[in-house]
Amino acid sequence: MDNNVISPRQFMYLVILFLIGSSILIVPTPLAKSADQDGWIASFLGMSIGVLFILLYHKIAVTIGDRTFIEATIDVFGKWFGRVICFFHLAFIYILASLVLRNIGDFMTTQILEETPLQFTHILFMLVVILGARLGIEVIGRSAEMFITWISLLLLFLFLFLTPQLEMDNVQPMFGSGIKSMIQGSFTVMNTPVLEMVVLLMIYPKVKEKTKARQAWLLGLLIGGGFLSMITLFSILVLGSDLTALNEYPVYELASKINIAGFLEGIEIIVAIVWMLTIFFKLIILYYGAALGIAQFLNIEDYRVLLLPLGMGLIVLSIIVYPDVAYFETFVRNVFPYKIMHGLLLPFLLLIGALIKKKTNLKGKPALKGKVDRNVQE
Amino acid sequence: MKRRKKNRTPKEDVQLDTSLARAISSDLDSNLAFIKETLGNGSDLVTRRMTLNKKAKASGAVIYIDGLVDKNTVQDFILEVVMVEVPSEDLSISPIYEAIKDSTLPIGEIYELKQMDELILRLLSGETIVVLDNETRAIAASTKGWKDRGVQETTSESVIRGPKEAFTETLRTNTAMVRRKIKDPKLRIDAKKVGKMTVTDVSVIYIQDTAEESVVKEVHARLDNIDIDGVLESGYLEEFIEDPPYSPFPKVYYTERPDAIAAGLLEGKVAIITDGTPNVLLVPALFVNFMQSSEDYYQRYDIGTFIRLLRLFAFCIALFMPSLYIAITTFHQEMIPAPLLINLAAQREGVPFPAFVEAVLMEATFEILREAGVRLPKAVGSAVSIVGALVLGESAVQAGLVSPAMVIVVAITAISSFVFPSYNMAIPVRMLRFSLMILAATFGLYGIILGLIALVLHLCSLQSFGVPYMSPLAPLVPKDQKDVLVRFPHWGLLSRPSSTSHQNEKRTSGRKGNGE
Repeated sequence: MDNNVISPRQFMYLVILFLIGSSILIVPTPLAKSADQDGWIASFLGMSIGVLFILLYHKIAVTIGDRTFIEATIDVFGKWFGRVICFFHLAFIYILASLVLRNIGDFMTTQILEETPLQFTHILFMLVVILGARLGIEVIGRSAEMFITWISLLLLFLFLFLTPQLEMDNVQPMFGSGIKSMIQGSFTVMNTPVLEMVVLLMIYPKVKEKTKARQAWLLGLLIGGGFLSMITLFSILVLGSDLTALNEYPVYELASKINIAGFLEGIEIIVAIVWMLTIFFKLIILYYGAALGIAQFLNIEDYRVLLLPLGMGLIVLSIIVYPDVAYFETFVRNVFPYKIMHGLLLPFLLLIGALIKKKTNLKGKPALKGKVDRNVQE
Repeated sequence: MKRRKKNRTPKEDVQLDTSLARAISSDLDSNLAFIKETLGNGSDLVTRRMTLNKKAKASGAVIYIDGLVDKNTVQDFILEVVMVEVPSEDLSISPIYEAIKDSTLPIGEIYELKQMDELILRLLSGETIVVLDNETRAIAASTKGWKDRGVQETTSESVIRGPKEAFTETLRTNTAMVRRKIKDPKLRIDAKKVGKMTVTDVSVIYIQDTAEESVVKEVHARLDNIDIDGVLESGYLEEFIEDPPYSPFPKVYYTERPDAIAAGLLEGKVAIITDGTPNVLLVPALFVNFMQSSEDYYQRYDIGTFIRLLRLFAFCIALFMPSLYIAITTFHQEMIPAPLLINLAAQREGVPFPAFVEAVLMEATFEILREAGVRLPKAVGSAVSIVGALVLGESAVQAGLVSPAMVIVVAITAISSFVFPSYNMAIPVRMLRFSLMILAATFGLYGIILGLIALVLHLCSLQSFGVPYMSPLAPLVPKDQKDVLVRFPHWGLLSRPSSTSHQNEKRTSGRKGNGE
């Protein structure tokens, strides 16, 4: 396998891009639906709960050391039962990847390229994703460094240009929607993207300087979640919670409201560019994780041979994965048990298993104690 | 590179045909006959046989190639010495060979030869050979001297402020120009010969303890691995030593400016001078190096920074402008303010082609004009510009072949592509522009953005002699940002760029005193 490594800073950028990618498209609507004008508070709430998940994921990552989620699961639970768990995990990642691909395809074909068939937008996007995944995680990390500046600048532009349109009445009364609906809203954020971050366990072993990695992960959540909550806040401030809840792509609608002195208008394409870039990184992380995981699942030396066939499969899956947008919206709203199973229960199971295994190992072979401990430290 | 290494066994030095590998015999006539036969009794081969000392009955010969040697040196310091001074020498003190080699020959560089192949090689490099009868050793005296161009003003990389001199075709002149700029005793000039038939002299220049040792070793190893019959220009070497050969982006920097090479050496890079060309290579070369000009460092830092940002902007225009125009006019008309959109639509009304065909037509025309301009003699060059500007621009619009807006787009693209200080960075931009235009015509901005992502991924995967091509941007090195997109004042450039060298980091201790 490739012995590429990424720096904690690159990892942080990937976390930010992973959080913004596709969530920025689909999260504000359900947030405003469930928590009305307090949607942004719900988003903050969800992100704060996200801190706990990151601590859990980081604990798992430290416990399993240099192994990916798949390797560790097979090690801990044995060849057969481990593979059953892995199968669920890989299916989760792969289906998630297809959903993300479909998100961008749907957006492009409904909003920007109305006459281009869905398949071709998917094929073109996948070609670039396959290219990136083939080049390895190091190159992905570096390009994240290249793009993060542009993405931040574009988002800051968006925020800046929207300031004349803000209407404070739209968020009042604050906390008026009630604590219950806010918690319900925070589930949306946990569904997408917080619980999906479990896939980062596939690339975590590639991060060097592990001591800084936890901080990078938390900081990534802070910045990425901050952007996401800001976007939600701005949607509600500019459009109002009703329009945000009704609109399929409220942020795109938001950008079309920009009008600076009558000449700087119609620049909603900026938002489209940000989406494409962030979704690209989310998809490539998912896809890389899936390919790497499937290669480890099947004991294949080099994951690169899988990239093309898996990509073809992903294009087909992304087209049949849901019949229409209405179906997808229902799915997003009721997906919590599915996500909690893959994002919380399976990793938790792995953590318990790994901890027990480590303990029995320590008891059984006291001579190995130092070695195991050192692995954990790393 | 690794693949290439496996297939080839590294060889120690370039050698002539192995049939020449024989010792010099003690018989003068057979030696002369052999040399003449080897060189096919060439018309420029001069062999002057003479009796050196009647008393000792010693005879010998002076051999050189006419045109490669400095005639005056041969005349005054070899023929005269051998024919006038040696006969009067008292040969009872030392034998004739030692007498010539150690005491009488007033030449700086003297070599003792025992093998015929070395003799032939030195003869062909412009040295003068003295062979003696009854002696298995020969003397080679460095008398190289031929007509060369002399140091002239640079033609392809001109600056307003800064030295105007350029490298020449002669290796020795070039190394001297570098040495004159850097008087550090640690400046190393390693010699090499590359090419089985041309036996081209190549010099590897670096500053020891400043250049990264691994890079120097790698350069030597890659040069040693080259197996080719001839090297006529540094481009031959470039293609052999650059990292992944399948990429349109240049991974070796070349320049004909000695000051640019000196600046590179001070940053810990390694220069490769090839005999016979004024273009000197500099490795490792990073993407940002191609965006920088040596003038950035001679002008004040504020304007230097401004110009660097301007260049980056021009880079984006040169790469994306035609494709953006195609994408916006074909797919995203809503982005154009309404009055402009109406104007554009009115202009395009009579044009029979879609924007893409229009753009490709004009871009291709421009590329042809540009190539013609490079090849034509100067006198005809102005004719090309008249044809280009008036006939193809003005008349194409009037004839309704293209819209005026497209002419503007192509013109600004063309001008922007001349902004780069490095000609070889404009080449990938010229080529990639067309593929981006195809993407724009099929997928609009979506295609352009995906093309951009693929481009950045590709750039991030490249390396130049082990250094990531996009560093210090990706991987980000915060310390090095002082001299990438912006240029800090010289007293603020505290350390060498750490992406190319980790040794001897300190450059200046900052600005002190002067009346603050």
